[in-house]
Amino acid sequence: MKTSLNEKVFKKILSSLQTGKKEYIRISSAHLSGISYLNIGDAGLEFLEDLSKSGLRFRVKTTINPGCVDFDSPTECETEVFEKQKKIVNSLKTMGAIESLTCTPYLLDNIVKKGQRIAWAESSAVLYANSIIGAHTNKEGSLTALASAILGYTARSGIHLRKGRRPEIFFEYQGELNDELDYGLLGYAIGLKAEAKTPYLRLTNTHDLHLTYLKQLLASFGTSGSAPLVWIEGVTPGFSKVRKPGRKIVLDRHELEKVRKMLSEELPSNSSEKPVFVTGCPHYSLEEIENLSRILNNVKKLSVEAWVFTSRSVYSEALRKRLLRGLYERNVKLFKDSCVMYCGLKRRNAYVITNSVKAAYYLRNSFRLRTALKSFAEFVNTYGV
Amino acid sequence: MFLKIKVVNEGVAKGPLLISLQPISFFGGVDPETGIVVEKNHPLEGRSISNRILALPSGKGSTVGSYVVYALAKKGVAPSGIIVGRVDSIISAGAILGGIPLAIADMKRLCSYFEDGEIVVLDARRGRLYRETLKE
Repeated sequence: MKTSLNEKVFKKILSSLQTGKKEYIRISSAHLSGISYLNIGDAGLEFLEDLSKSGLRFRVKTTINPGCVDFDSPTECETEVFEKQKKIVNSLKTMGAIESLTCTPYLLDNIVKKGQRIAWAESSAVLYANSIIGAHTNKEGSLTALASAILGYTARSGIHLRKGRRPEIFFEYQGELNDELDYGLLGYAIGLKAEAKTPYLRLTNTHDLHLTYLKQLLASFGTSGSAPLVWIEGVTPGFSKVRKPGRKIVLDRHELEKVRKMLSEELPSNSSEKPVFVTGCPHYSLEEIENLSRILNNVKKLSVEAWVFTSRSVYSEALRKRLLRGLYERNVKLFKDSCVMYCGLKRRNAYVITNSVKAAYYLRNSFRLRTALKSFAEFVNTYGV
Repeated sequence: MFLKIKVVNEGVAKGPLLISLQPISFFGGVDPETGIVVEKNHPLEGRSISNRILALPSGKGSTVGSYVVYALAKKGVAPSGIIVGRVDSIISAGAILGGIPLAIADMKRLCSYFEDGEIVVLDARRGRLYRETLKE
């Protein structure tokens, strides 16, 4: 059968998913998911190659999610996977995408502003853009984001309407949140309870609404919940003006422990197996790399490897600012272009310790690896020498 | 006599009706080279969906399924038409990319009107599904 890829086809895709009035809204930025060869396979590769040959080009600034290889470490993965990942990226570059290969485009590669209408896939970036920056994007799928990048508009529905942004369920967390992992566990617990509803969240006893912590909270919320936005009291632009939903659901430490049990198993103490620590889900920011270096300054070396995932842009900045000195010697490896769903990690089939709830969820469910959840400081305490 | 259907992607197709009472995951559940259902313990396991009018409640699983539907169409081993029980973004996108006629129908009624295997015409222009009748 002959298939032809043109703008009309992508218009149809957007309109087929709209119930009710078919209205559209211009966007000024797109971010695409479905980039990793391990995820989209040959069917996806073939489609993207056809698309780049069709002559269609992106009309707006477009960045892309991580792939499954680090283009500077060709020996870590099968040659076939490496080559096919390259073809996927080349097809998208031909269409005009920026070779960002990151799930944190908002840090450097695709900076957006409050009120800006955008079409982003990648749930953690969507939640960050809406909840922290105050931009507006639905949780686009790989294909709807692609369609919007090509057309320059998206369906005027969901979060693009005032009523689609309203908070629908009110959570209050009572207790201390001590580290990045606590925030991640809380995000996952809220997602489970909120299901498809948009939460309003109040954190008590927290003096430190640090962005790197909130990034963890939102990424794990995006793993278990489906709303594109969390209203965070004191953070989300306009939070003081929205009407809070009536009944308040109070959460405490028990909820965090429940999630930890779901996604974490201890390595048997008699095991001779070497675990690997994995972090950078979502991709590390400069600040997180600085923080990592600071914690590592207290130890000579780690007795197991720590793998850190970040974007090429952040990596280059970190290199320029000399933030990476002493990391390699301490058994820390940095990876770019890929995320924790990295071909080299799948290949190694190791027991994984991570400080990211989202990473634990996907490494267990997609890569079938065993995972334990520990904060970075906790990990360094155990494995630092 | 015909069953009213809601058009998602226009087109007309004819072929044997293949009814799946369970959702299908195109990604991982269907061999993209042959169109044979490979999901373990699926009622259609081992059967081909190629050139059939495939009726199913919905898709399931990864959104990459859209690319698989497209790949099937490109290789000529896709269903000639698809009927779903409810709006399904994975199948919609795949069918539109692959140029496969697609419509939504009430699955209960469909199963009471038609039998699995009989030759039907999916008219995703006028919004009708009917038995092929011989004209002289």
